[in-house]
Amino acid sequence: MTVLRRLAQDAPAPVFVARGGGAGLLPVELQADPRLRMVGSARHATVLLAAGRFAGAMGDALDRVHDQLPSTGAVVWWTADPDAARPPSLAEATVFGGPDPVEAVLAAHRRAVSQPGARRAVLADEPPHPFEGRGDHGQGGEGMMGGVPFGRAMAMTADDRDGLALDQLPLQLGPFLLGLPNGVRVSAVLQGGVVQEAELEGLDLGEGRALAGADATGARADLRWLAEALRLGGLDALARRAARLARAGATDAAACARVAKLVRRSGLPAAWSKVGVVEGEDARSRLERRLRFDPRAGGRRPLPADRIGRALAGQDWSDALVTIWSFASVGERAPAAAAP
Amino acid sequence: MSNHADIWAAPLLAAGILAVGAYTVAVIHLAVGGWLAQARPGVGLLLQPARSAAVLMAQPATATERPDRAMAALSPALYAALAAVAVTVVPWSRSFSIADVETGIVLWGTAEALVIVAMFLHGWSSNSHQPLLAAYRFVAAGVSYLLLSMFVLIAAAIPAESLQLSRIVESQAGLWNVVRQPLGLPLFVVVALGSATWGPLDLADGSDVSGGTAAEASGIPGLVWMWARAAMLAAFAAMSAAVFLGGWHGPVLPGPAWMAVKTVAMITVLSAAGHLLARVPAERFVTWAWVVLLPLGFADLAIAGLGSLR
Amino acid sequence: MRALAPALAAFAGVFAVALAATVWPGAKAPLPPWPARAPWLGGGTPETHAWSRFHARYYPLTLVFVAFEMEMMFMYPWAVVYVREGVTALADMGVFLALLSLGVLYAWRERALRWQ
Repeated sequence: MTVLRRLAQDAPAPVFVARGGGAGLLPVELQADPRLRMVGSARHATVLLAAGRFAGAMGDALDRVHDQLPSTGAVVWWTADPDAARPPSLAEATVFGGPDPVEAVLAAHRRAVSQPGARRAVLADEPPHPFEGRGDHGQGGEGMMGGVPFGRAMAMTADDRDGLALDQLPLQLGPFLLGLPNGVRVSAVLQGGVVQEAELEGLDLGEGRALAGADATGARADLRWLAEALRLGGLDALARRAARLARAGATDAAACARVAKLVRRSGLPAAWSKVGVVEGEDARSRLERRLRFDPRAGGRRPLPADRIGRALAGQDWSDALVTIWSFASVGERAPAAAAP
Repeated sequence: MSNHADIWAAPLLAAGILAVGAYTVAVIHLAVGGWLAQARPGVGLLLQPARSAAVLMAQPATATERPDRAMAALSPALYAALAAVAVTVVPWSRSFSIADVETGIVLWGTAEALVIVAMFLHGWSSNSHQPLLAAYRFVAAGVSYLLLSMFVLIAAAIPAESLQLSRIVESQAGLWNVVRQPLGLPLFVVVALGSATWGPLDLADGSDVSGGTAAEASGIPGLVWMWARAAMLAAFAAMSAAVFLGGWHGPVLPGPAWMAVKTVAMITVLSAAGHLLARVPAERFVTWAWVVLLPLGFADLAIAGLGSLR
Repeated sequence: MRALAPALAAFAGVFAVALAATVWPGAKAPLPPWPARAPWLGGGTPETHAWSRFHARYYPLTLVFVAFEMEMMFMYPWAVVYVREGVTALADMGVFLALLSLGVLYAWRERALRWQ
């Protein structure tokens, strides 16, 4: 249907951005371009934009995301280091090394829409928990269930804070989720939407050249952080406005003040109040500090990851994401054990 | 009494009204968003929902590991059908609504209540963690805002002495309900935002859970779900125009034209609320709904009751 | 009751079309491979199925909701005869609502509206 194809080619390209090592929060500014539309789930995207370095565990996570992209989607790798080691998911990606990948993403989108040759999955086509047991047909074994159940396990019960013992969901929420800083993976146990225990883990972001413009300071960095915070709060239009200001260099203080006023009036600070209280400061006060766009208020002491993990226990999952993002540093996270 | 549509024409009319309504919602939402983002939208905006729909149509539908296939197929269809049955009670002129039942408000309330079921099933069916989380937290908000809708609609029914929508619109010949029952429309807006999971009450499809119940929906099933949400918002806009803004009353223009104008105005209000207000966390909304909004609903009922005694 | 027919017809018609649109296009497509069907967790992995005995912490709230719903059932006919009945109708419903509000107040004080 050529009419549909032509309509689809001119549409705003739904792109899922995966931020890797050396990318900082630079890709956040891309949402300022009306020809792109940032989506939160790779299932909604036609283009996977991988920005930065992906090696080791980051590469494994990117492989998983790559396979969850619909089979007609395309992959673009935005990197300053095209010779770096690349995971299998980027083996056939379009490599882009310049400062502004929008045109490359649009070209990939048009390709994905008009020539839907199915992209092959990278990971092996195996069930995540194959049937195991002792007998010839997989039966028998130890334990209450007589062997490991076929496919994934079902959730098991555990005590909860209010005395009931219902099921807990242990999961690892990966580095490419809205609300998580670059390279941070959360291993959480949820019961009924409330975090029972959580652990933040910083994946290795590798060493190498950063993307041009990835390091930002002052108001520009605050605006990038704010754009992601606004997307987390469901305010996409304001997020695009903040991204536009960041892209323009964040020199217009009056415009920044107007954005801050709109954010305060939207109820986002109210939604963040009494959330993530650490050392007497909640997420709202951390947000208010950023909204002042004060270049002199730098040098916030980074918080260790296990401290934040402990602060998450007992919070609703969306409040936990707010807590994590409110602590995100504005620059590139130092690797290994230091705070996100 | 009012004319009813033929049972063969009814589905076509309902689908047609919802198709136009959903498209209008999409265009207005893009326009308000573009204005707020200072992105200078052009005339190309009018075709943009069609373009985004074409992208979704070109995508394959995803599957999850162990879904509930029946519910995954039925829940978008149920949601769309509930929007259709809800819009059939709305009167478009003095003599026409698709199904002017004598208990129109009850039919509307039924559709609203079942929306919670459809939304939950959509999150449940994919057997994925984030949609499930979103579905459960939406139900908490759902049972909290549902009562508000019933209170404000019953308050509007009191001066009309009838549950029939056409009578309710006729009772506004002298004064619109938005003036004589001022709390009604704001509370109904809260219900509209919740039923379509829009803006501040976007708990079922929120961005903090990667799109919530729609996180695993792509391709045409995803398109049907998005369309159904926009259609539900349009149905609520039409209903609030009928119940609170005087329906087809108005000088010069014919009745349906006034209904269209008022519906578009309500869509703009709902869209602006979506762009300007941050998502309210589920727990906070629940407390707020039961402790603040419900007493306001009582107050609205009292105002309506006292006003109708004279 | 005659007026319900168009409403039900609209429901059935739109339901059928939406169901066909959801099911028919992908009906013959092969199932995607296992890694493409994993739950979306931003690159993370789950350990169990999502389906579980989920602790819906708002279950006391649903009981209060059901109580109010039953009250709504009485309010529908009450609204129709209100103007005819006058002040007594207002007083009656006021008492009814006040009694139910005590339930909400109790739920609020017992922290049924908060779930952490």
